[in-house]
Amino acid sequence: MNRYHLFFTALLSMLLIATAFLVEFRTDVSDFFFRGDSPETALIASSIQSGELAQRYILLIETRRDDADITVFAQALEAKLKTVDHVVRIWGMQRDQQVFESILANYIPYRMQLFSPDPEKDIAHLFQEETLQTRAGHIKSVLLSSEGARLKSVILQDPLLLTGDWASKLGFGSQETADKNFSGLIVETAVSGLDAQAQRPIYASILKTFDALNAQYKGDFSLRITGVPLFSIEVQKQVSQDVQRVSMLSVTMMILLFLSVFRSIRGLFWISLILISTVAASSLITSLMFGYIHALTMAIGTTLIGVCVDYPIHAIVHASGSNEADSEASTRRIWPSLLLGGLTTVTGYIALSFTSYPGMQQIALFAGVGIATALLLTRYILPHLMQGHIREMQPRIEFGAWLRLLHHYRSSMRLVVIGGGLIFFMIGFSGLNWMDDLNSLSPSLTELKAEDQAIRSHMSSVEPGRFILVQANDFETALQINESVFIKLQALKKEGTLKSFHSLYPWLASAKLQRENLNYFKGNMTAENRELWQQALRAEGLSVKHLGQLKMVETELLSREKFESWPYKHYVSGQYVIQNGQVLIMTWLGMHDADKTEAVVSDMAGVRYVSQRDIVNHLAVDYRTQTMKMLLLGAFAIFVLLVIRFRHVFIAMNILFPALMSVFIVMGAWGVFGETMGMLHLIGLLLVVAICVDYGIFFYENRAGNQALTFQAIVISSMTTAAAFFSLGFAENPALQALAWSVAPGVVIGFLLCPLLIRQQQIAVQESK
Amino acid sequence: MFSMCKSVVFIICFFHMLIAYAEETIDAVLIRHAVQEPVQFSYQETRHMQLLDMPWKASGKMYMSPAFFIVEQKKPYRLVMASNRTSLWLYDGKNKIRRSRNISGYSRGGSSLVALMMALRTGEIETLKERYTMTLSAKEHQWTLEMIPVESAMDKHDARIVLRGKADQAADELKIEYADGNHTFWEFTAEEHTKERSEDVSKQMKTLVKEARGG
Repeated sequence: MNRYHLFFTALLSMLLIATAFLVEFRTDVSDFFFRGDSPETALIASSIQSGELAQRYILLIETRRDDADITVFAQALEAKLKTVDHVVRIWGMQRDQQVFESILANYIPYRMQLFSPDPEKDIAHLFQEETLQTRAGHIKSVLLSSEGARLKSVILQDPLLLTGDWASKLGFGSQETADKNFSGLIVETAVSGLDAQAQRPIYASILKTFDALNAQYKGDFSLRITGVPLFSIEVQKQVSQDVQRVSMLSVTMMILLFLSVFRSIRGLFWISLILISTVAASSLITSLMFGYIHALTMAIGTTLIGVCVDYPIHAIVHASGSNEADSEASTRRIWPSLLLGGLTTVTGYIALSFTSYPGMQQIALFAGVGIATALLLTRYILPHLMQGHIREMQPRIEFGAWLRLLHHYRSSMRLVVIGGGLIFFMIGFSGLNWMDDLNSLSPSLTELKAEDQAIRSHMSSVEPGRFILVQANDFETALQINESVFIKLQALKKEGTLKSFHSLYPWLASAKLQRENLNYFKGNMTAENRELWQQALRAEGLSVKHLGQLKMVETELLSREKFESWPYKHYVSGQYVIQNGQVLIMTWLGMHDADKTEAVVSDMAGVRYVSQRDIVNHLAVDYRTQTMKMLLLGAFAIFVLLVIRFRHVFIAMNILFPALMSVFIVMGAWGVFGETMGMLHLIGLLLVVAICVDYGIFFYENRAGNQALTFQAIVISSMTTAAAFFSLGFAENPALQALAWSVAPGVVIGFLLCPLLIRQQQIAVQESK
Repeated sequence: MFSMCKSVVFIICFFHMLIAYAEETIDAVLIRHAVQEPVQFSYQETRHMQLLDMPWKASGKMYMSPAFFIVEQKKPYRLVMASNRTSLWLYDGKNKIRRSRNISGYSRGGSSLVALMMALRTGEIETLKERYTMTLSAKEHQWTLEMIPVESAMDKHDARIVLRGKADQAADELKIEYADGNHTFWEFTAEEHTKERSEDVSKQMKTLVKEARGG
């Protein structure tokens, strides 16, 4: 063992130890794919990633037995779930009587100032004779109803039943009509919904608790469960499986390929250590720079094995194929080509990092570090490791058939390929289907999504993903705008365009509106109106003595701080966000006509009808446009590098030509065969350019002065690269599949075109001779 | 409506239960309470409420079986309330609305007189004794059963329940007094009870349950 062996072994050991202790893996898909630049997207991203809504499980308990005590069971389950670690709050979807009474008790003093979003109209209407008579009749109905005894104290405080108006605006009252073959619970946890690792034991505990309790009830009940944590757990499972599957497959294919070609265990061993060092260094640096490394970065990063293995393969092929005994000398000779090839590949990855597509910066850094590590180890360590064993690493398979074929038909084939390729591209490009649905890049969770929809349809009348967004610079202004929105939505609801909506009003109202309500009430507390009210009471046989004295409520305005001190904030969780000097208020919408609802708020300043899916897909279009630009910019940057290196535009164009033709042919093929194409396919094509240029450089420079040897090295390295990307095709994640089916064919076509389209450098050959 | 049904359930139960002899023990009276087949009664209800200037009156019929308890209020407006052990359905003919709610929590949690009466009807005597302090007394041709809810177990709005009947007969009066001073008075009239009549009552109950539940 020489000092290089020792150095390398020590380096690898340190890298592995540091990686094991310092690298933090994450699997949050939204974090990887999603970033909010506008207030809307920031809001969506924050609500997905850290909001309370994301920390909740929604439990739907069902029974088929009519006589099963489902409420009792739900209460028992609620009590038991409270003891589960990290569960901070549990409540039923059907707000129970006690909660309702407690909310009413808090809101009674504020009934006048919260009465109406349009006090001038509504308070004038309230004090009309007919309205007062209706109210008196309603009071009598309430007193005689099942709730009479409970609500008597409320009626004594609030004879006009203004609190009833407040409650009906929130949807209270309709709660009792629900069927009772099911019951719902919301379980809020203290940890982020996207922290799958922390959520997994909580989820397991919920299931275990349910099963244990259900066993006591002879299995009368069944449980359905949904929530962001569940999606996270499933995504993490899928991504982890993908990483394992892709890594295993990639490594196995690489080993088989290497052993078939070189038949050298020693060579395999040293190359494996180089690749392990490469992945360890990449993971470590990326994790240190970003604070974590995403599992998808790892999955895509494993394809780097296929790219990084190219450099040692070139070194081995050239060392074993040349007549020199000194492997260091042969490696030194091809080093400029390796370095330039590495630089162009890194350039491609760096271009990716400018796409503003979250996660790509990680991949770019991961790739950059990996390529640099592989290059340095190939140049300075590998020759010394190979010393004395070069001959046994000679390739046992010869790949010269393509070269020999080209030798005879090169000119005619070149024209056919260029002409055919361009026509193919033109025909295919016009028929390309662009896919701008970011959801299609997420792991496929069809069953979970269907279950989520089914559960939510039982539990909530809200249409997920669509809402009215109010945006303002301060809370008071935002509340005022929100109240205007409320009036418009109320009108829509009246005409049947909107089935229901859930607004922050009347949980909270602007100070301006509260004052207006109080002023209008004050103005209407006249002797004349009092007499009208007393007449209405008498007509219904109600006690004028107890109910006939209309009085103003003397209380302070309801502030946000006061509201937040009450325990009801979770009812409006996520409905208002205050960040970076901006206030955002959302109104959730029930079933509605999207066009009409959007039209109603379209002329209101600071108000937007938002569809999360539209926003996300709009982002996807932006990403695609950016990626297309980066594809061109990346290709141009590589071209500039080549011009700088060779100081000749035509040489640079020549080297770039096979890569570009490969991209054209792949895009043409997608168009012709009607495949859809998204931004990740474009990203894949950028990688095709970056990788194929390497082959172009090696082939053009031909530093060994042996065309067959150079081609031999290119064939083997392109096979390993294609195999690595081909492995991605076996992942479940559509994003990884998109990369696989763009890079693998692109690389194969690119390397096949090199000897056809590149005129080799004569100087190098002469130098070599 | 719940106040009404609480009272009604109570009195119906005791119609069957109380062939009240002065020398009888409370246990013996309660055990006799369980209903075996559908029965029907007429009722008159009078409520005295602090917030109403005049007493409010209603009348109609009540039906009971081991599975259901139904109130069919005919005057002053139609209202049907049906309940089993776990659920209560209500159809308000005046306002044309239907509602349902779960009442099982009360029977297990100890707050609903309605559900407690259901328990009594199906023979859960011990539960009833846990909920009330009972006193049975007799004067010449009349018996009286006074029930005071155990404070910790009962609805905070209920204060005292008094059942009264003629000697050797089922109860024909019920008075429920509430903590706020309101009280409701019920008068019952038993209808003829035969096997054929029982089948008719059973059919009528099904129709009423359907009306209350809707659909």
